[in-house]
Amino acid sequence: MSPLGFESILTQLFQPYFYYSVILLTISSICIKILLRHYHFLGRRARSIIYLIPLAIPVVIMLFFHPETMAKIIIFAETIVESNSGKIVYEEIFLSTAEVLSITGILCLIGLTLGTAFFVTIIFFGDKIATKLFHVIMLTPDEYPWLQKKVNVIAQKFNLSTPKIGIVEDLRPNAFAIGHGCRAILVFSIGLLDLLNKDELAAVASHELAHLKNHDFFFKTLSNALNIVSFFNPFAYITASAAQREREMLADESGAKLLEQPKLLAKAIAKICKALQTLPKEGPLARLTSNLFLVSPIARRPEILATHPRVNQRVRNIARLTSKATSVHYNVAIALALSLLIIFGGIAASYSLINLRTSLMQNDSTMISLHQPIDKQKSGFMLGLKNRNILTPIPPHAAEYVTAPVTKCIQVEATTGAIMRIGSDTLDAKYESVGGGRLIGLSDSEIGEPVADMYRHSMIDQHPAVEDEQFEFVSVGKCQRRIGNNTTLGQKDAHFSFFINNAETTSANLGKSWRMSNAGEETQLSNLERFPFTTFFAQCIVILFLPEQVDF
Amino acid sequence: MSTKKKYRISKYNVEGEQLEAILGPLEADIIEAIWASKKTPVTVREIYETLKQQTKIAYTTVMSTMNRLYEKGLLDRRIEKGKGGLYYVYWPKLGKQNFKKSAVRQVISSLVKNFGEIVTSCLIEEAASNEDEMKALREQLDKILKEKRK
Repeated sequence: MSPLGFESILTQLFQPYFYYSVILLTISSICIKILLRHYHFLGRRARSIIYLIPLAIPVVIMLFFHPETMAKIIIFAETIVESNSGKIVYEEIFLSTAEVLSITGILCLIGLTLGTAFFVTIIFFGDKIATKLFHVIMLTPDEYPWLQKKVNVIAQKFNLSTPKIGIVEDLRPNAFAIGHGCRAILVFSIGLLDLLNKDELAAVASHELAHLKNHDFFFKTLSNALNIVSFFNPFAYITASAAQREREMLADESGAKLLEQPKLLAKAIAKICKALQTLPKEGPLARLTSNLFLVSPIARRPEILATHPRVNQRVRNIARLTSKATSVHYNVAIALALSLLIIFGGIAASYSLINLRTSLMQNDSTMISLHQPIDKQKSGFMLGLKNRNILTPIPPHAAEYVTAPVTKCIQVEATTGAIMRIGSDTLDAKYESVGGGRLIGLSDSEIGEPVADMYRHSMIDQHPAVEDEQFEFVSVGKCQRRIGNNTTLGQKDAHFSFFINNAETTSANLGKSWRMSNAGEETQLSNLERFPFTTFFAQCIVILFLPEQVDF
Repeated sequence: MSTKKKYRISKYNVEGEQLEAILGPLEADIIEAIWASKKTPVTVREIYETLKQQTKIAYTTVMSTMNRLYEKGLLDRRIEKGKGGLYYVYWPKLGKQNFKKSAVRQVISSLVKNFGEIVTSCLIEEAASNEDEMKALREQLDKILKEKRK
């Protein structure tokens, strides 16, 4: 199986750090989005913080499941073993492990590294970077004295120290605030200074100072950093944008409240948007830093990804501050019912999806159970499914007992009381029992494999072998037949037989023999690497809807 | 955005030196900086950065002065799109020598218009104080006369 094969990709997708972070972020994003749509009574600040929760989940997940650059995968191929009567009764599993480059692990590591680097860099050097990037020119006390005075007055109202004021040459009207505390800078573009009158400029300054008051520089940096951590998940972008839109609304509200005429801010925003539409399209820098500005410099962007709410929404929001009548009629009962539904729905969906992964992972106790009527046609199907360990991580012991030169093995697991005999006609085949299953080497082949060649190998601690009870499985266990590289397995006449006697099943199984039909290694691998989509999805559905394992 | 307006001198300052006779001191500094600039066209910020090294000056002052020079017709400008957004770039309409020549011509024709022969005789007297200049002036006069006879 190539590292890019479907099973390998699936294996990588199901790595816990990736799977949980993607699934939980997605579900929680959707739930919170729906929830907040109906929770109008929550303040903008609370809403923006709630939006950060889904973005923080991947970071928490990755604290528990560290992303790795390499992933262990179990390589499978299978063939059909026919019984003497010609019925399909068993699938042979070719097992080995391989370490492949974990694409999902690398994605997660890149996200974590970039996100952390972004956060640290912007928090400590954001103001300097922005000053350099936008060529901000600091105003001297003689330049725009009236504007500096206004900013000072509003800053005092906000209980803030007066920030430095800078200008950028840009002819597009816009403004932004960057930095925090004494390092804060308020920047106006030349286009804005030309476009707005003094009162409107004061309103814009009020909005930007509100950003400083609300620590939005920190908030936006954090939400962007968390977005970068999950840069491969589209829902991260949607949620981070939603959080930032709430922050813009919050700054509009806090800014407008301080003004004598709150509508001036709405007027200024509308004016800027109108002017921006007539100017040529934004540059790449403006696109990348759009969340900084008073009004998004990006003319066209889908609403869910926009860092700023629509102008009419902002204008309405500001107008709502002055109108006495509450425009929102809120039905508490409906909202509560809806939230309960969404919360439980979200938990149920998360639980099912987490369960799906767990169930599809190989479980030691769900190996082939030979006490099932093995000669029924469907049991072959079930065995195949149960042994598909496509969803790694692989069991910790698997890597130990599957060594590199081993190319093929047969795994059988039987319950307590089962007796098993295995024989082979290949000279260099080795037998091995893992766990409580005690093998008896009783060869019926012409060559007569010596019993001494078989050795017991107890690696599964939970199924210790009991010395005295030979020929029997004393607890649920499994045994393997391994064939080395030098085997003549490719030949058509290579075969082996095993006998199982299970005390729990009918005597019909006793002494039953199967002969493996071997059609050559090359052919088998190419034929059998196909992933059984139908059975896989059937199994998914079964696991999702049925609480207990069902036998087919 | 470019203007076809031709630069007309509105004032002549007899006490001013060089370009400051016809332009304000800051205007003269800025147009000199633009002519001296290796890069054409230039932005306000580039000229501001240059002048800042020589004297204490505010960005907005440079910006408004360059805007005035554009309105007077000395500079031309257009909007350019850069990484950071849209901004004006300026370039001089005339080279340094051509501008000086055009300015002097405007001054002299105004003087001649107002004071007639006095101006010419004053100019001759001024030139007569130096022999080399006198010689050059005679040659130039001969040339003009020859062309007129033809």
